[in-house]
Amino acid sequence: MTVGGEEIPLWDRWLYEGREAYPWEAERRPPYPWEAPLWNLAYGLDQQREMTVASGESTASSMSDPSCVGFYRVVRRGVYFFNATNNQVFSGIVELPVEIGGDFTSEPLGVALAALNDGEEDRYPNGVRGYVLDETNRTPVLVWDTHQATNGTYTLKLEVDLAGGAAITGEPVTVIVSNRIQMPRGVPQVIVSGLPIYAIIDQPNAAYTITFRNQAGTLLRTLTGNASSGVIDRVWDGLDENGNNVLTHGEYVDFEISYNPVYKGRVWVFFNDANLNGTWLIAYQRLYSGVNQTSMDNAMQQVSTSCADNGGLAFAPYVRIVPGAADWSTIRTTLPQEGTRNFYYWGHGGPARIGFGANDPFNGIRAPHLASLLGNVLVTNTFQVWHAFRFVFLDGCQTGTKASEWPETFGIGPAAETLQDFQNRGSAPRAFCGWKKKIATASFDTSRFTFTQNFFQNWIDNRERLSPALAQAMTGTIGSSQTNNLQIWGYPLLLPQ
Amino acid sequence: MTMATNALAVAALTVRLVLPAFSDFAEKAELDLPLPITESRVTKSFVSKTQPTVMVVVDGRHQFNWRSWVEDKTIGMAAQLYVGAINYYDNSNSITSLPDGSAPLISLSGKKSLITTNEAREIALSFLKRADYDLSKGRVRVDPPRVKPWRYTPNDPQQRPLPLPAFDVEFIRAGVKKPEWFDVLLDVEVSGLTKKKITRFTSSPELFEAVSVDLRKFAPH
Repeated sequence: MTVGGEEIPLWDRWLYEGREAYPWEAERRPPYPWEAPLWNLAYGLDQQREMTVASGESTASSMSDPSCVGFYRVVRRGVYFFNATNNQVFSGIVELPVEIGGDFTSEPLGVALAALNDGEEDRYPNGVRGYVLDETNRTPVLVWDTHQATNGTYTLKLEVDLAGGAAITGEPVTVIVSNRIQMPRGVPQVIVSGLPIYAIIDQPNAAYTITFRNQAGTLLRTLTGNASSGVIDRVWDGLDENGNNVLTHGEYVDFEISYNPVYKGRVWVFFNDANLNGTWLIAYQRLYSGVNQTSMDNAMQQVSTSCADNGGLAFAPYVRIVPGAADWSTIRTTLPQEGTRNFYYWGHGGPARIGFGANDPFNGIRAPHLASLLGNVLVTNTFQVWHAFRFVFLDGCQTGTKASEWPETFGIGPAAETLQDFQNRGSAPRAFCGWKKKIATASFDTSRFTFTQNFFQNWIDNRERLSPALAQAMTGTIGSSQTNNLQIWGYPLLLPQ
Repeated sequence: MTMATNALAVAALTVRLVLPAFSDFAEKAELDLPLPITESRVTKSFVSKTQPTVMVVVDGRHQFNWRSWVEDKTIGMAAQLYVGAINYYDNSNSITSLPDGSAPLISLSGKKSLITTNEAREIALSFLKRADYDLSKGRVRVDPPRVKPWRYTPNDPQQRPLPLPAFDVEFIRAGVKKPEWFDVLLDVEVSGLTKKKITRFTSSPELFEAVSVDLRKFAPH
């Protein structure tokens, strides 16, 4: 987009576009599995408003009404809540629209609640979901299931994460949570074998009923009992009354705790994927001009051939990324496919983005966005892994720094781990590789892709373990002196599939 | 004499050429497989066309990897290809080869190790001595080995991790307090099911001179 003949920076462009379209009129994304419950609620509220308008009834004019955000939006500098004020009382599931404005030196990536950093952990609210900003999500609305915070006083402090690691924070707002039913241990987004239910209700010995239903609405199981000192503490084992496992991988279960009032939740069933090795996605950028690009293509062809024999290719034979959005879109849609569990990328990188290089500054993938697409997200201080990768190598600058968001984006913990560590979590061993430093050179050096060729041959064809395969692949200017710049997180002795 | 291209030089490596070295390794490591290793017992192999490497699986289980690890500038020297390092994996018994949650891994967790960590260290050091590996010849110094027993955690999180009858004897770069993957310069996995069995052996290119062998010594006179 241009104004006065000049290209408008991306974030400014969003603001311009924000004035032209009401954000809530933007096409609604299909809900990701993990956000379906809250999304449905927000979507339901919106539908309710539309029905009210259609019926001719007046709608309340409130800044908390998302339909009004577009009309009255005044861009201020900083980050603010629209509808949260000091000492306001919240119950149930609430929406918190956020306003962001100002001249940022780098691009805003997402909005979340900031850590208070004052030792007052009790005042940090659980149950608030962060929001990822991108071209299609430009009006941040934090959704807060206040049931997941015990009744009391909380401090909400907004934080906008900027590209490059910087952040801006808003003024703290103190609010009060009051619910008759509390879920202080939170509600898992994903379950593997069963569902723990822990609730605090306002009647010490009330009789309760918990029902579990599948996607078709069929009743799977009913648990009944009486609260003990106001606590409901049960675990559903995923079985029906006859002892049959009724969990279906990839589908959700709705549960309802009722005594008066009720609490409804939705969890997704995701089995242990210990044996799910999956297919490969190979993607690379041609970054240097004036070199033999055919050699680069040949190298990637060899990598693809090795990977094709090692689980198959999710996108055959590879994605050769050229400037523009199309190839990145292919990557964004291929990675979340159920079977894609291995990813090799060669090109511009950073701790929280790939692409966005000098050759194509507006296209790439940001870690928070991809994490959202994959469902590997931080939820109330607990990392939920919906789509874990078996192996990821982001062969670009700074993808393996301490601040890198990439390993967790792919469901891999940023630590060297043993088989036992993975077993403790009930998951199969995985590994992430990235570079700790900038590895780009001013001129093209064939050792960059020779290293890649060597590594895949060592690991897949020679079936060396991961770390020896990498160490023995170092050659030329990327040689052994660079070995200690390569970060392996996860299991360094990982085998190919 | 320098050969024309890397590919030609690498082509000199064959399965037949490296088998005697693997037999020698197997003997010194006291692996339980009949010796010498013959081509007829090779169940899988891979000879790289671009790197000086050969991978061989014998009897469907014992995996040997040969690498004539040389710098790019000298890779064309045919003579260098006769000097290489060997990695070894017992694909049926190395803990790193057993699928997570697999029956063999679970069954191993019920077995008691016949050796202690000290004995595992002794087994590893004895092998290095028999193989005539001299770590002082490496480009970097290593600390005395550390021994890590393997453990297995059953699915039930309430249950304590069970010891597995296996040990990793690791040689770390000298002076490194918090070693990363590239600081583990030599790694010997010792099974606790017998009092001698080695189930995995890998070494870093930085110790190439310390562990390399010369194929020419196996050539018939």
